Amino acid sequence: MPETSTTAAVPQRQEPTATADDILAICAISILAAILSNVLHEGVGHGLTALLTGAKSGLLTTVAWASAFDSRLVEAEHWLIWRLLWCFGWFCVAPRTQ
Amino acid sequence: MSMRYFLLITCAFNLFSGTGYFFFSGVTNFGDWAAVISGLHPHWLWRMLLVVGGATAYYAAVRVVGIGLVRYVGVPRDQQRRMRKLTILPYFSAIGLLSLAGLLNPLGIQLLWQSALPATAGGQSGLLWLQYYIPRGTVPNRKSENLARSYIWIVIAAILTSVYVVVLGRGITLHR
Repeated sequence: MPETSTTAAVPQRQEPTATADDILAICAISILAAILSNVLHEGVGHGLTALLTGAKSGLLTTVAWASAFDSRLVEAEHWLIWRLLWCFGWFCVAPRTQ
Repeated sequence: MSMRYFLLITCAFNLFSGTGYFFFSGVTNFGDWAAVISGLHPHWLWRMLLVVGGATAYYAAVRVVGIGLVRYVGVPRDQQRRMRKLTILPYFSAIGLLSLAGLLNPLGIQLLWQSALPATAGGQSGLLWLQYYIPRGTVPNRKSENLARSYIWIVIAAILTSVYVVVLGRGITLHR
């Protein structure tokens, strides 16, 4: 039976500009966001936390922070970053209602 | 629009990896949060908390980013093709970048397969399906614009990518 329902949702508007977003710009912005996120994670979250809480030195790479000093706080860096960025994300979304 | 999009994608990367890591460590008993709960008893309960808490937080993060994409960046919910383009490209860009940089890391290629790639490919997978979880009735708070080509973003990305891959990819020793 063909769908002839008159109660189907009507699109809010046409899709006039779906292909007009520049692919290079999207990739460039995404790469910068990925770099920033990774540096926040490994560098600030693990590395800086370790140096501030007892590590004398460590090796920072894109995949991990390596140091002789280790602690739960250093491993749990996500919690700090996660909460900060959650607040940031929420700040972006919620108060911008008209 | 480009700055708003950059902030939202940065927020997405951080929220997804932050919340997804709970789930990943809970399921695999590997990674940062597995190290945090090691030695805590009962261990199975802590792992279960990571799994349930991680899944719940991840789902909430997906909703927040999806709502943000519509309201804050101004992409109408019904522009599905456009939404896919704006979420799938960041996903594969991040995987490509982190794989490339990870190949040079001095800690061993295994770390790339075991930790960095799962954290990125799995952790950021919310970008692939968030468009289906944006609440009905979410509408843009601003006029929809296109993301135009910007050579400033492209040049900065090219420079920082080179530094990131060649310098940070090989590792930097930091001292207190």
